Amino acid sequence: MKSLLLEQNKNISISPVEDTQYVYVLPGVSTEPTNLELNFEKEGVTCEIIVLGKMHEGQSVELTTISRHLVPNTSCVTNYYVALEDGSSSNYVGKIIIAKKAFQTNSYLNNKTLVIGEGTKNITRPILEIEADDVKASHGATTGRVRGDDIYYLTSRGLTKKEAEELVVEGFFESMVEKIETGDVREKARAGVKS
Amino acid sequence: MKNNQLKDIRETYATKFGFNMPEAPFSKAQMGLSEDVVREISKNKGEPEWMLEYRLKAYEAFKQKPMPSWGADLSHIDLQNIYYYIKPTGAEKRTWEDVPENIKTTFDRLGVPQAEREYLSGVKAQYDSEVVYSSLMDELEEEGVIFLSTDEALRKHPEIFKEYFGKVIPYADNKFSALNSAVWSGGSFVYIPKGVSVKRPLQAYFRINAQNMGQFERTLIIAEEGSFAHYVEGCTAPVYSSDSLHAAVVEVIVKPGARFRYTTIQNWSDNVYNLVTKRARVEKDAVMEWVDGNLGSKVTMKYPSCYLIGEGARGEVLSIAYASKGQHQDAGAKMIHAAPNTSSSIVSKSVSLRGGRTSYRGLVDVALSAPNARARVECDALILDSISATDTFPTMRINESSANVEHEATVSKIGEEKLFYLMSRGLTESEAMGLIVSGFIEPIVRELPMEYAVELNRLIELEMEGSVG
Repeated sequence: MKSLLLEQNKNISISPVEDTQYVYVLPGVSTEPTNLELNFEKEGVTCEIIVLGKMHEGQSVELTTISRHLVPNTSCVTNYYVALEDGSSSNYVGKIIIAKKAFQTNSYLNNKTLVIGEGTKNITRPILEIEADDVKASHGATTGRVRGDDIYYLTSRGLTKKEAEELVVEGFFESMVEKIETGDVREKARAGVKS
Repeated sequence: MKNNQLKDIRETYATKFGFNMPEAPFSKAQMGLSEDVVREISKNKGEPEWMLEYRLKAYEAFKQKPMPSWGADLSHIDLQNIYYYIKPTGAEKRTWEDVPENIKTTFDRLGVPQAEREYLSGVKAQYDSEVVYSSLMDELEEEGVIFLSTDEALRKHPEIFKEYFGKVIPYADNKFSALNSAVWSGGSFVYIPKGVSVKRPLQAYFRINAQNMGQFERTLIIAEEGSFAHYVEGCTAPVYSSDSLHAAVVEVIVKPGARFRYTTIQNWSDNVYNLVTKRARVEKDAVMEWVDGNLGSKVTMKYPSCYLIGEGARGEVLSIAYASKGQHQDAGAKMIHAAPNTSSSIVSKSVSLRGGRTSYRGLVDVALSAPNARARVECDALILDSISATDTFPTMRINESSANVEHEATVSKIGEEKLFYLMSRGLTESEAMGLIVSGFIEPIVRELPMEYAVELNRLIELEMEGSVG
């Protein structure tokens, strides 16, 4: 599957015609609310959405992703990985819509929020609207802090607490970044969540 | 797979629950809602002045509030085409012999007296607007347990009533809590004293008999420190072509260290709009459990809530929804974490078939005052045919950095490979399907009192008409 890095834009609407991995890196500072939607209108297409972002101190992100399946036999995996520094926030709506005739749809949404600061806010609304049977749709969303024992282990190996935290955050994003199939897109995404 | 041959579990409803008795009301308010009707209800009950004022304030709030613009379609409710108060008999009775014949026959057919003899600590039976029968085991009465109709509790225990009534759900909370607060009648009042553990369930049975009836029971439950009790309610109604309305308000206060379980098996006929507000206030180290089964009604909108306001409080909701032809079950749960180290769990299972629609709607809210909160939500939906639908609308609002929140939802149809495997082992398609659906709802069924679990399993037993293969 080829990967495509999406330009920052508040309204992104795509009707995919071939299997594609869409990668979007949040700028890490507050922007206008972002809408990213895939409308599946061609049968047999499989896509992936990967949204990554590290929200810097006091910054907020408002994001909506929509995976709208209008014809049979399409697949989509939506991933939203965000890390929250002190006082930052994320407000996310992730929709999977399966229309009446869209049999054999397979759609999954995966949202992970890693809290690395204090005073963070996180609103998540993963929504499923399913009008067809013979489909598979699911979502998983978790919010949690950097695990204390991970940090403890790394600091016992000689890292400072800050270095240890950075390493954990890097690992958090890397689990997604390594799935990006096209080399230059992968490198840009990796750099995007480091800053 | 011939899913459309699935037998509807509600097919036998009309004969089993859908019967009605001739109306012979003791008194009946005029049709429709007005300030006069509100005053008449209060006067009929001989209530104190403060309650009349409360009802009138609530009625004002009801008039001002718009109908909900979200959730299920409520545009067909005609609020003026409903009787807001029908008193079926003179006074609450203590033995079934004293209950008027028609009413007694109804509850006999529903199996209430038998269940009471066999496994219950106490029973309330409500028929249209009033509780007509009430019992409680002597030893529980001696221990100080109070189990009365809410009307009787207002007369007999005015102080404790006034202290708690309307405190968990204010009348202006939403349009239907305002309506209930204006015209409430009947419902249960439960008081479990400190340290008392009620072993067998307390049960309330709600029956609508009259056509175009509005039932507005009001339940208030106080579980004192370290106590335990299990309250079970069941509801059915005759099948009519015109709509009825059921808008209850249930308030539960669970004091420190107490545990309270509230089980509902809602099996209204499919001409009933079921719009209910249920909320528990859960104090330090207390546990509140809602087991919420929605099988009946035309439209249900109900989201039992736990306000976890004491350190270490825990809330649990197990929810099952079944939507067949013409039904929309918009159900779910809300967990408000407002204190440190609170935890919550929501498990929802729904099945839609024959054009029915199930929606899970839920909220997990972690306030800044609630460090180390843990919450887990799991909702699964099965769609059994191509004309049915399902939605999932969860919200997680986390304002505290130390929270750990997980949410999972899946939607699927019964997998061909699972059916194939079971059939290759010798089961018929209908047996295989029944087994899979039973397994799907099992986490909820196993939490029900045994008698209900048997009943629900029997209801859910999905049969095929004509054998396949």
